[in-house]
Amino acid sequence: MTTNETTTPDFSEAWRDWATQSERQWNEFFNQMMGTEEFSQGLGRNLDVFLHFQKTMNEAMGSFFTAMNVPTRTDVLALGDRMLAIENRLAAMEAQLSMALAAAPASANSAAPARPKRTKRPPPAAEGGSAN
Amino acid sequence: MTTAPATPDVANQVQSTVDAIVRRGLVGLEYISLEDPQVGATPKDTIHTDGSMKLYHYRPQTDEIYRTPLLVVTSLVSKPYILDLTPGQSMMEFLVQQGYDVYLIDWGVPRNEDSGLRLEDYALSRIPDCVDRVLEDSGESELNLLGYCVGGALALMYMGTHPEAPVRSMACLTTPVNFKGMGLFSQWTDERYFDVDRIVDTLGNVPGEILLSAFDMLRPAGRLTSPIQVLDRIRDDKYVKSFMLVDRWGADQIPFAGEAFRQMVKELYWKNALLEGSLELGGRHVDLSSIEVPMIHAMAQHDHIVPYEAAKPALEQVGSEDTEEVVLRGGHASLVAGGNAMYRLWPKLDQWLSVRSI
Repeated sequence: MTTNETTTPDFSEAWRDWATQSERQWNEFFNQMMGTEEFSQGLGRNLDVFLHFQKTMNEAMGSFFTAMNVPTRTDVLALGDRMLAIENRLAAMEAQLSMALAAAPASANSAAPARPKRTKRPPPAAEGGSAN
Repeated sequence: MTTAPATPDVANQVQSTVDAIVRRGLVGLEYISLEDPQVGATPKDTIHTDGSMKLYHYRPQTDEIYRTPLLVVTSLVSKPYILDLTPGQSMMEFLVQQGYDVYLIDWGVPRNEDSGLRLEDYALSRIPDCVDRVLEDSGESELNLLGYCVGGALALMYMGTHPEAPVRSMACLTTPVNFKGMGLFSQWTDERYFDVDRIVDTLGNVPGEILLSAFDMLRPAGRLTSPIQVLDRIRDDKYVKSFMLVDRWGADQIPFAGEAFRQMVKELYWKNALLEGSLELGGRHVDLSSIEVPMIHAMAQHDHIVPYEAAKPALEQVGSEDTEEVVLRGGHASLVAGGNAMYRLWPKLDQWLSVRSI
């Protein structure tokens, strides 16, 4: 039998299927492995080692910076705390100012853009549904 | 049987794919080289701040808006711009353009001084404060709540401790309640091996890099196959742009406030206290059954971060009689951003919220 139909191999379709299936299989494989008690135990141990290293480093660096008469991370963070306190006080002042402006007579507040009316209704199709 | 040679078609196909890759490569390079891609671009004003937290009000874009304002509670785990990804693919933009008066809580990036923040600071202090600010700003007496991921859980904790809250209805998006259903996260935080006290005591906040590694480990092959998927749809400009933005969001991991993390692991993962009804925050019992407002919960079929088993019980726990569960195709991020969201979640949310916003 002879046919004039042209058969083009769909590489992208095959590629897509392969990628999807491979991802699923690899994820399943790794997820099974990582879902074991042994893995959780190993993860916990690694985390402990990392935290121990981090703590030792922090202490060593802190001593080094103190000896060099350079601000330590703790000093910089303390400055950050003080900055935050200033920011919070500024925010509180800003809020009080906004409240004072809102309480001011309308003429003094006329520069504020008018807000749209709160009268919008849902489309009839949606309004047919139930609502409390 | 004779089959006509397909060589010219294959050659054309290869040629056009290569052209698209080169073109995309140039656009992609241009995009990647941008230090600050346009995310979170829907016009908004900051109406309140508290430490690193900001409360935004999105500027209305319609002549009329719905009466009841909508307050969006974002996740603690990631940056909130997934909800306002880019113009044309932004849930916030969509809601504003549908006529909602939208406010959003951005928890910000926890700084070292935030390491002492606890769940009650979010659920019992900051959310109620933001609710008051929204009501004051809008001049209304009640609002609707929408929570995404952990933001939904925080909103539930707020509602479960404030039966008198001025909330008219509540929408949760892929919100975990059953932490025993959190798959590998539940395994890895096994009480016997996971020393959460040591992590928090040593590091303060939990670094974003650790969280990012944990998320990546959920889908180890994902990093390899994601570029293949992009290659497959290289001609689709919208898809590629959306993919790159979502991918960037996924990698843009923020730290988790230390004390809140400790509480989350001990109370939610180890004791499953939110589901069991034993969660106490700041001396107050979180009673989900006291939540009686209408509620919708949208979940993603292929959510590997908050699996269906973790999210499903939310509606079973609340006391509301008017509930709706929606399970949509997609994953954790594509539920709220991208094509899936645009054609499935957003219209559904609009339909549900609109009649509860008048």
